[in-house]
Amino acid sequence: MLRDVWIQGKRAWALLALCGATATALPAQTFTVLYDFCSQVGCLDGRHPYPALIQGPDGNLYGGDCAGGLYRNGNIYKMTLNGQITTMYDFCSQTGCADGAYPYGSLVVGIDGNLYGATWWGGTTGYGTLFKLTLGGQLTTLHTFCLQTGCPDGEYPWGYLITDNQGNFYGTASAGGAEGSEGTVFRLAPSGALTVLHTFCAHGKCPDGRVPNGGLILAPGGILYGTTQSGGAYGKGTVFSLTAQGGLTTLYNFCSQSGCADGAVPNFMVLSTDGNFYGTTEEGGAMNSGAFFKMSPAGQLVTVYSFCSQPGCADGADPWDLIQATDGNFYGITVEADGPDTGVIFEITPSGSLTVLHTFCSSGGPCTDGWLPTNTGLFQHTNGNFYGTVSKGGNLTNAGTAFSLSTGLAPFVTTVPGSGSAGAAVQILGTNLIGATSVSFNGKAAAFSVVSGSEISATVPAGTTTGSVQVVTPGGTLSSNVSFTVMR
Amino acid sequence: MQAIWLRARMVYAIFALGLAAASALPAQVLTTLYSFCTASGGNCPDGENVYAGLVQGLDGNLYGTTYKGGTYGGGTVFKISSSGSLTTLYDFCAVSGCADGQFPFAGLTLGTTGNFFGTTQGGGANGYGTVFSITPAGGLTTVYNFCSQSRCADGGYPYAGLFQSTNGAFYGTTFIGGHANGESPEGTVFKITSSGVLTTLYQFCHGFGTCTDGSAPLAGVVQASDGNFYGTTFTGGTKGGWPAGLGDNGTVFKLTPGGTLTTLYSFDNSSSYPYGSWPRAALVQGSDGNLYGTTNQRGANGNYGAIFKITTSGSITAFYSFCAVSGCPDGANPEGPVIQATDGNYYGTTHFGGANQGGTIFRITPGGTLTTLYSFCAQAGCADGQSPYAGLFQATDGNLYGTTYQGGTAGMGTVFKLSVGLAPPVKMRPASAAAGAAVKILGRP
Repeated sequence: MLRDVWIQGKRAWALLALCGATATALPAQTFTVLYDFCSQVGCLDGRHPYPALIQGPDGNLYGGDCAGGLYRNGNIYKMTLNGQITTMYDFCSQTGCADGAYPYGSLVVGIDGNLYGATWWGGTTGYGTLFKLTLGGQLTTLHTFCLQTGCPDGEYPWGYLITDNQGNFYGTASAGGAEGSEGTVFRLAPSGALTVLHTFCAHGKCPDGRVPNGGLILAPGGILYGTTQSGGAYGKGTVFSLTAQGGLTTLYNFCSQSGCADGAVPNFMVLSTDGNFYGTTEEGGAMNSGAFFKMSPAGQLVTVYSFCSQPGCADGADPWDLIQATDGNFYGITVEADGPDTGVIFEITPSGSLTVLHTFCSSGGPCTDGWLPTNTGLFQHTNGNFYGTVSKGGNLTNAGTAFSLSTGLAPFVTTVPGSGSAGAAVQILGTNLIGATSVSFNGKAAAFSVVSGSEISATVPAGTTTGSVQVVTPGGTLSSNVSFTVMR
Repeated sequence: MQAIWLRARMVYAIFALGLAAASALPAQVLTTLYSFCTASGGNCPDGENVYAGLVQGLDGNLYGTTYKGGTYGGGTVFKISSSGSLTTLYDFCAVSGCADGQFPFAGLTLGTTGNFFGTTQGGGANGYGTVFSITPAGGLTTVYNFCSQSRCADGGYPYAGLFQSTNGAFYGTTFIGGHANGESPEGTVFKITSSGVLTTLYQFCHGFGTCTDGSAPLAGVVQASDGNFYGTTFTGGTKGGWPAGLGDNGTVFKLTPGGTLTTLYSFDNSSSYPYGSWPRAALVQGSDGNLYGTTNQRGANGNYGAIFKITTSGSITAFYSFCAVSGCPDGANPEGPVIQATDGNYYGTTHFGGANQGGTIFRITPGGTLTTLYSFCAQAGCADGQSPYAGLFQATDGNLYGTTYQGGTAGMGTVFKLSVGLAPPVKMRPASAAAGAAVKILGRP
């Protein structure tokens, strides 16, 4: 149900950041509200969507909400690219919400093609679960947190899960852990066995950080990277790395500069194609309204942009999520802007040139385009467009919206998993893949079969090296912007 | 307490003998009066999926609603005799676009005129639900269409039924809507006259805030003996620690007839929280003057819900936490309210748990001793009903009547009678009134 379309041709109010901004022409952006939540009677379709959307193997978007569905404790839904929603699963349909509730973190596609995720709440203990959901809607609870006294495995998993090429999942619990700790990093094996890799803030001292809410990054070489929102040397969060054996290194302590000019309370972080990490902090920066930072793998951090640098905080404040799109630039949403928690969608170059692509609730209300984009995020579909949700606002019901944002980026392909050895099966997700004539891994031709218009099954060819995956289709050649890592 | 089940001559007549207090516990007999979706004619013309409880009409019959089914699939209003003879009084969506309402989640309220008043969650002129009245013969009048005001300032999608006040007006809640501007509406409390004049008494979640005053009421309000209205919100409040104020665990509120709201209590989310969280059901004022309610989750034993007691000034007491024993034979996750029956005890249902995991009917004494009176799914295929949503109703024959959401011979819900040997009450409609007002007294013929 496409309802409202904003076309911004000539920067009617789109702002170019002035910090060394180059006067490049801004392509037209199209922001479209795809769906108003609570469009179904009683909000059975969902209310207050929270996790970012992801792309399923079938090319559809998958997301969740936290206060709607049959039991009003959240659901997982499928949404087509034109905004048709189907409920996949309603949480709390089992005794004691044993199946979980409130899926805050976004889903991830496993190497088996199923969806995997975490619920922040629910499970028989009420401390959250990890689950598998087939595209047919069959849910399996893989882990229930806090079944053991003292919750050594953690409580309230918040961030999203990530997967490696062996079918392991990695994630964070925002609280709990042995001896009154403050969060854990865990690995969930394909067998269902959960291993705690690190417990934050053990013994009540938190030099290693606490409350790891920003999710994890699995870098080539098998090292995990992540952020904590508080703790560390200055109490305002850290960036850490973690080996598969659980050895943690604190790479950076936020608030190490006067007035926390370097940023404080980090949220999401991405591993850029240039090998550096880029991320956002919710607080700190020159205006204490959040910052955009760049950090080398060794922990050298540069604060690239401070939010609220523009009059009236037109550039947004309190940035939350961050992704790197196929143009190499970073995109995200801020929670606050000039006005009540409205937020902006921004684009920022690695060097810090910021452009506001959309301001939520810019009319001051009614916020028909939605508002409060907390913890929701942007997602770039393989068709090149961005998709996301905001948790409040919308047409009538204040239940949140789903939107698309087109900035003219080209279609591309992505792989599940992102790494593998020669001979391994890899799923390639894309758009209009029917009739594909070749698949190559860093220039080396691969055996493949077209599963559907949105999915190709390929085999990592012998002798290839880490690099881009390319698919030649009747409509053109599609490339992955993130290198596929070939394991030895 | 372990229950022993004896199958008597009647297939579904079951006698429970409590071992602990065998002499004190009278025999209980559950009779399945009706299984929905058993009428001929295809897609459940007699209704399916019952969320709502029953009320007794002036003619002694019981009246209720089904959420779905009926001739047009939009739910029904039905009448059922104490012997189980069911008559469908109205099929929603009889009018194009379901302008007559769709999907009644709540049950009916008997008005002083002998007609019934209720809500539909959807349908109506704007698709966001209605208030309707219906005669015992099935004559339906749409009294109000929600979302008639700009941006649903009057609310929409009511989950709750209506409460008739001493002033004759009806009071209810809506799940969504409430502000015409850009604020964050999260439901309303409204007053409506029988002629359809709606006044929004309170709009939850003012400003762009985090709904510390509560949000998204699922339950209706009740008028206590002090003249004020009391209710619960499903989410919102000041506690719970939920990110961005999206969740939070619900509230108990007091609302004066003039529309001044006081949040009496905000539910929390801490470990082994004894009062439970996320109330979904209405409160009931006991003969001791306290308000009693249920919470759907949390509780002292995990995530299985609780019963709480709260004074009209907001002092809360833990009354019972479900799933006190592994496997939850005492029930789990109540969805409906409790009622106080003529013996002074409280009676209610749980959605899950019980000996067969199909939900229960329970009694709890004012002292807090809970007895499971019946565990659903005692019969093959849950022919005796499964997973009740609604609370119970004590009819003037002294028996308790209720509905199940699922189960029955067609799996689409049931109407049941539970005989626990209680004395027949008389009921006054309305239950309280000013001196000189006319009331109707209902009793056994």
